[in-house]
Amino acid sequence: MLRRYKAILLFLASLFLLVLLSLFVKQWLLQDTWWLEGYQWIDWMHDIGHFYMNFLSTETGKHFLLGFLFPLLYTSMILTVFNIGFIAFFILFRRWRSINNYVYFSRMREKTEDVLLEYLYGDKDAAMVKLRSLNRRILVKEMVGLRKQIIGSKADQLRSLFYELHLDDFIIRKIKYSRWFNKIMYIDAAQWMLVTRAEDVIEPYQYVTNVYIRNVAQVACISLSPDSAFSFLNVLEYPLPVWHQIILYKSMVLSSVPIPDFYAYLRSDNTTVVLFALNMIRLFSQRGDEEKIIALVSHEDPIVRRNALKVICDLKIYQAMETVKQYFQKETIRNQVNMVHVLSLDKTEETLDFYKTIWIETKPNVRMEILKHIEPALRKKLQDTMPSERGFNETISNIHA
Amino acid sequence: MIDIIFNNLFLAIALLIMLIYLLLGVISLVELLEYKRGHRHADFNAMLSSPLSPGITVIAPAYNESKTIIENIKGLSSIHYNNYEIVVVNDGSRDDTLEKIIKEFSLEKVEEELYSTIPTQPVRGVYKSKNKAYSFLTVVDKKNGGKADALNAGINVSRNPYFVGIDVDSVIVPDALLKLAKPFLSYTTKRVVATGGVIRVANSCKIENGQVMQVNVPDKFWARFQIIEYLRSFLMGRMAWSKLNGLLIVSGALGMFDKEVVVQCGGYNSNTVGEDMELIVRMRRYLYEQGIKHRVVYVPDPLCWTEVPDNLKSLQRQRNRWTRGNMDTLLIHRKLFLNPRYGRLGMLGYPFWFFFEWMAPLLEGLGYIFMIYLIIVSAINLHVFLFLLAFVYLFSVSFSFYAVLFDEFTFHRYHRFEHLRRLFLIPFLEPLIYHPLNVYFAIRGNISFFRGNRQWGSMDRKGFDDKSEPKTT
Amino acid sequence: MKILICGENPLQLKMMKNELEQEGDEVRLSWSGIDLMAHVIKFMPDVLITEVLLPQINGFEFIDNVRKHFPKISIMVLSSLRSEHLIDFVFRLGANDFVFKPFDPETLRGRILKLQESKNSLLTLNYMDYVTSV
Repeated sequence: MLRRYKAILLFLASLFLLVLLSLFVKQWLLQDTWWLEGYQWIDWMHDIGHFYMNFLSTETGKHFLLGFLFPLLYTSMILTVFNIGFIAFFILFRRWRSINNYVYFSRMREKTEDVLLEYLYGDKDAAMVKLRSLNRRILVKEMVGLRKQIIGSKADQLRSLFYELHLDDFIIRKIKYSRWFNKIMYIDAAQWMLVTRAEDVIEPYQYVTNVYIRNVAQVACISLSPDSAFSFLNVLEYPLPVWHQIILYKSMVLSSVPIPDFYAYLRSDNTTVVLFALNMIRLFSQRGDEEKIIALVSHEDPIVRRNALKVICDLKIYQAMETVKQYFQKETIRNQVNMVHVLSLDKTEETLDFYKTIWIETKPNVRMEILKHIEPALRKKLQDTMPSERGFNETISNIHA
Repeated sequence: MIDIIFNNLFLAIALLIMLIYLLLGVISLVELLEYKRGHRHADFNAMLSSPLSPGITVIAPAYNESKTIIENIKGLSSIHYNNYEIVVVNDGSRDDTLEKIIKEFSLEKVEEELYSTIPTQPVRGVYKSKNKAYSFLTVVDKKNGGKADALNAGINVSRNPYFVGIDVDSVIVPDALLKLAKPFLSYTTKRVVATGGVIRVANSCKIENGQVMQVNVPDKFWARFQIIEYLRSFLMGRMAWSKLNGLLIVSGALGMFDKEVVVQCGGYNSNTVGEDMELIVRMRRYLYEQGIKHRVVYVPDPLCWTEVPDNLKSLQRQRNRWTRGNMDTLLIHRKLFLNPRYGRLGMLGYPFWFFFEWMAPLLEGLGYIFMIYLIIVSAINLHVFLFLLAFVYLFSVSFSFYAVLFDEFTFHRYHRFEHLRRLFLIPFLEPLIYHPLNVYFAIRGNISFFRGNRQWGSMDRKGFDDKSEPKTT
Repeated sequence: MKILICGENPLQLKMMKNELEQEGDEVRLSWSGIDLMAHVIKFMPDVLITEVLLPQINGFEFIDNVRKHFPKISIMVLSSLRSEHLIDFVFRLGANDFVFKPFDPETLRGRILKLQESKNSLLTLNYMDYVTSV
């Protein structure tokens, strides 16, 4: 909750600090002389402020707002001057440091790469000694980076090296204690190196509010605990956006985890979980209880309906025809397009008959969509048989005309 | 008596403006850091090979672009995405733009029926490439009708659920579509209807094969001012408005839209010069009226590099057009003003835009005139005047420095000491030279608007851009 | 055999180099993505192994260019792409083989040899195919 209003809290806090500071400055300015007399530029600052304070107190009528706010403004003005210099130096410093860091890290990376290659292709014992002295963060990064690219015996060697260097303890500690954006990297590493011991640590992260960590933890649990891989779908309260689905799908394809029966999740209260299940049924062409999918054609959420229609279309569920025809007129235009695709699975004559019955009460733009998405033969028949209102034909501009 | 009210009122307004800007800056900073940290390890390539990633149509309207069009289309074809098509709309160019494309990409006319869901000027032909390497390319040739009309024609041809509208002469970075598409896929409780990317200044950058190979700070001063201006408005302003869900504009140079909503609203409005802003406002107004929760999101990644005007004449024309576009949109949708029915858009976004983008330059111009009058009749108090002047000046300088700092924190595109040396002088000059000029241009824009000039202007009528000189790539 | 490998992960490329050099091939690497065409022209490899998602340049265009100018080089694409649409596209551009990432580096050599064998017989056919399809 606090996280959401972080910016506003930060803003109010800094304003509050500024007001506090300005109270001190006010006292300082009211004095004629003060105990740090002698530093020329501070004196200078003090004298100007002092002058203005006196001046404004004589003209309270004319400039009452300025008189009231002057200490605040003066404080922020001084701060601003320092700020400009500070920011400029800070930027330069960051540049300088990042150039140095870049040189350092690329040298370290090269060294790490060479030692790793020595381990994989050369003298293992000598390499081990060197490996122990390297920066572990870079080591983890490099090893995971390579692990993502390869399979086979070299990948197994890499994994056993990972354990031999006790990097599993290192990343478990890091998952527990580092800042949230670093956790992401280490959870990812745990997934790729199959650190099953980390599962207990990662498991609760599947349900946190931070979307980035939630996603990566869910993905990690698929590889780390194949038995209960998708149990989070049963209890997930947060939505599962398409982006997460993409990542989950990718890791399902890459890992050899058995794919669960997604029909079990079609009755979930969480709409996005239903969507996920529909997508996975479609992509893995899972067969199951088709009635469950047909029931979703009349779901309350249009996006669920759309995806159910896609599944029907891809899995060629012929039993759905009647339901689709029944709901056709009530649908949104985008779903109607999907319905047109579903209907084209059927025999041409039957579809034609259906369009004929609904043609008159269909809006022109829906008709256009129908014409756009059906196959050419059917389109021609439909255009020949059905009368069109005036002006309708004009909106279809034929290119060779 | 009047001068007492005047003195205090002006001070109060100035302070309020500063506070609002500061607040926006803080919100932006928090947002930027979160975006940066959350996406540091994001696997954008997963989308590249996923069957779940949505289809996207890139629509590039072209008008008299003969010199650069080939290079630009090649640049577009290096975008990383798996499921996209490029639609180049030749908006009745008077030079050999179309012939050049046809020759280079060996296009042939395809005979397909065009179902125009949005009315446009008549289409003369649709072309596709015979070369398989360019199978994603479609070229539409139509009668001239302006940028909005060309985009509408592109929408009619598109077969994907999302489309990206771009300026054909700006450089799109390869992962732009991935980054722009992500917000559409990440929100579930609210419908994302449009996303925009940060526009950066491409003047003096080394561009090869339609990609920015080396970033440079422009040699011309006018362009350098705009770097600071763009950084400020994108990294400090629009980021915050994206968080507050009060965005009124997605830049015409690069923006991705949900086609369904755009078509329902009737597409781009070809009767205004600010068609990019008008579309967003109309879409959001429509969605509020339908009671659909939605968002317009800004992606802070630098996704698009564009050439900005580097001389006063073209700068003036650009600003004049922007002002007229703003006013047009604001007047068309004046019903939104402080209307609680339109949520954040009506209560925050629209009033901000109204006061800060339309009224502020006028008010400032008035302030300048009044100040000169006061100096003439010597009714001004020199001390107060000097203090306030110094205060405002320092504030705006430090604000610009913050913008550079934000860039440094997040994407540090200006990464060489040479760049920084060139940039650091600009914030000090900007409030003295560039800002007053902008105020002047905005006032001129107001005048020409009320004189009834609501078109692209007689000189650049139906043209897309204010570039007077051909670009060399 | 002369082999040029382009990609973006230096460690992976170096590993492939080690793997292939054991068998006595001459291997060069490029992971920056800059001036790839120049590398090809200078080195004139027999086999080009490349990723399509290269930094800085467009991998598709690169493959297209190499195929157009050097029909004799066998092109092996090594990529994490999974989209059938794009893989189809890569083959249409003239690639000879496609290897999915993650891959087993130890079987790579066998794959290259097989590619080279079949190339000799298929080269003309492939090239004709490419020309006629244009």
